[in-house]
Amino acid sequence: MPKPDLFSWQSGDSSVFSDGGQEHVLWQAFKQGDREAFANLLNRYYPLLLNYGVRFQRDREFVKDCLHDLFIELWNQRERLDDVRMLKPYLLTSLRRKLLRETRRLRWFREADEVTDEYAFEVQFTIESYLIHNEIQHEDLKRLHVHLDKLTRRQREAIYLRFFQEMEYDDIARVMGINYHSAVNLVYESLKLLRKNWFLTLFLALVSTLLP
Amino acid sequence: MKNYSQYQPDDFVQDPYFRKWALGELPPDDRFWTTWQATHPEQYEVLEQAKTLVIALRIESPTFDPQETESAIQQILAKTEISRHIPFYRLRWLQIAATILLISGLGYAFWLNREEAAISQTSLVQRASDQPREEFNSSTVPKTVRLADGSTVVLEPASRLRILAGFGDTKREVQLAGEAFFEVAKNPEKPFLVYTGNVVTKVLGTSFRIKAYDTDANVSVAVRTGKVTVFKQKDQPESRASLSDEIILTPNQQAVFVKADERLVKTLVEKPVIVSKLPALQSFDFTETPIPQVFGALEKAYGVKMVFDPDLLKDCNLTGALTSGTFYEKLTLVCETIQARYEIVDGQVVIYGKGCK
Repeated sequence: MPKPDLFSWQSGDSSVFSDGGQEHVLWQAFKQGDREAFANLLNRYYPLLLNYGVRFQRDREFVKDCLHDLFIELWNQRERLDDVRMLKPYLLTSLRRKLLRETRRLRWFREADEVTDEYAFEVQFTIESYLIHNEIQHEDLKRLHVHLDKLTRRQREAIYLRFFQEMEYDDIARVMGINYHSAVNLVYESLKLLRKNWFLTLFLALVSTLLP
Repeated sequence: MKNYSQYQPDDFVQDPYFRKWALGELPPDDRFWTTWQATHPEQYEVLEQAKTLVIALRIESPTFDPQETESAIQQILAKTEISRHIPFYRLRWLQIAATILLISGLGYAFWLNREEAAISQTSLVQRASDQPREEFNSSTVPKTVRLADGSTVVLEPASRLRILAGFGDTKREVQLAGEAFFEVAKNPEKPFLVYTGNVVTKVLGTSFRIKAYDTDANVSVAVRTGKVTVFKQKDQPESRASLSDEIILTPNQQAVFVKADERLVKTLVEKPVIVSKLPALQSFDFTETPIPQVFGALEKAYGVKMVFDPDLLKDCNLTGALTSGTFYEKLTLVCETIQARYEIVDGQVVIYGKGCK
């Protein structure tokens, strides 16, 4: 299995996913108080941060409030912020922290006795709409769909960050506050789980057709 | 070139180029994967499995109204605009320097004030029993002044703000000459009063702009958020004797004090801004919408009262987007469509029209 090759798109294909140099310039301008850079930053990242946020909290207004506060804090503290090379993981991490903290606080007000680190992460997989849209009958896909529900929230989040936000594993690790190997494992374990169950049902389906 | 012939399904799933093909996102003339699949029959199954996995893992993306995100972004931009100058005050060395200056300045001011109070004719300085603090903006850019209660004042060039003694004890009193934008921290216990010539502006917590240049004929108070009370100085608000001279302003309204005949007039600000925080209200996209509904949308978004006869206008309708342009441009456009005209009376918009058939 060509493991090293797998991660080579960190350097080789990185242009597909980011424009590191340009982002760096944008960040520097923002730190120096350039309003246009700030507006640019907002237009570029607000929608995808909102997309990420609503997966933790279905209450969209709550997420928007958090984003509002986050960007105002960034602006007010811009001179003291670190030099960030990759903005997406940095912003996702900041939003995630804020959301979890605010959610905890909210919960603490509502049910004062219970404060936990639990959080939900909601992703909707689109198999059904895909099948309908493309007017195809795909038995494998339908079978696979059943097993997507079995993924844990952390697996869902890793898959979301990997495939939807198209992030590198070290960035996923940073956002989720885990180490690199755990991030890789979360994605690989999910894929393995899906394939195992999928082939199992495939096999059972085959057996059931053979049995009288 | 990657060694794709060694790949397992999971590896393909992770490959961005492959994912694009599986999801049908590659340009039609990119035939790499079709060719590859045809030339690697032993990998056919692996490729199909990977493709299925990629499709299965597609994640639904909630759709956001672009206007919703746009208005949220605008809110953030507007909110940070005011505090543009704050970082200047956060500089450590400046804070220290300011403290030293303040301490030495206070001693001087105290000594100076004893004389000044005696000479001054205005009741304001006399009211200040000990030394007031004074801020003067001699630069060419607006200057942000933070007050002890958390309020901020953006002082325009050549404007002077005096923070009266006893600020924050029972009231928060300041005196302004020139122009400033106030963002007042909420505190219903301690009203915030701004004295400008003969006009007193009283608020509990809100934001507004005051223009009171000595050289100008008028004094104006324009409200951005919240509610503001404006009255002439000789009328004490407590006495309530002459309520008619007390004006209550809501967002986008302004009071103008005409110095010549000492009259307070309520009108609308020059450029009303959208005050509603609900993004849905900001989409002025109408399709055969009855006019009363159009005015209702404008009223809600700008917080400005619209006076019209709904029965008369119920048969008029509007198709089109009122997304750009100022409040008055929108108003003119609607009025032209329905052959009506508008007037600003007492801080409200009054529509005169004959109706439609």
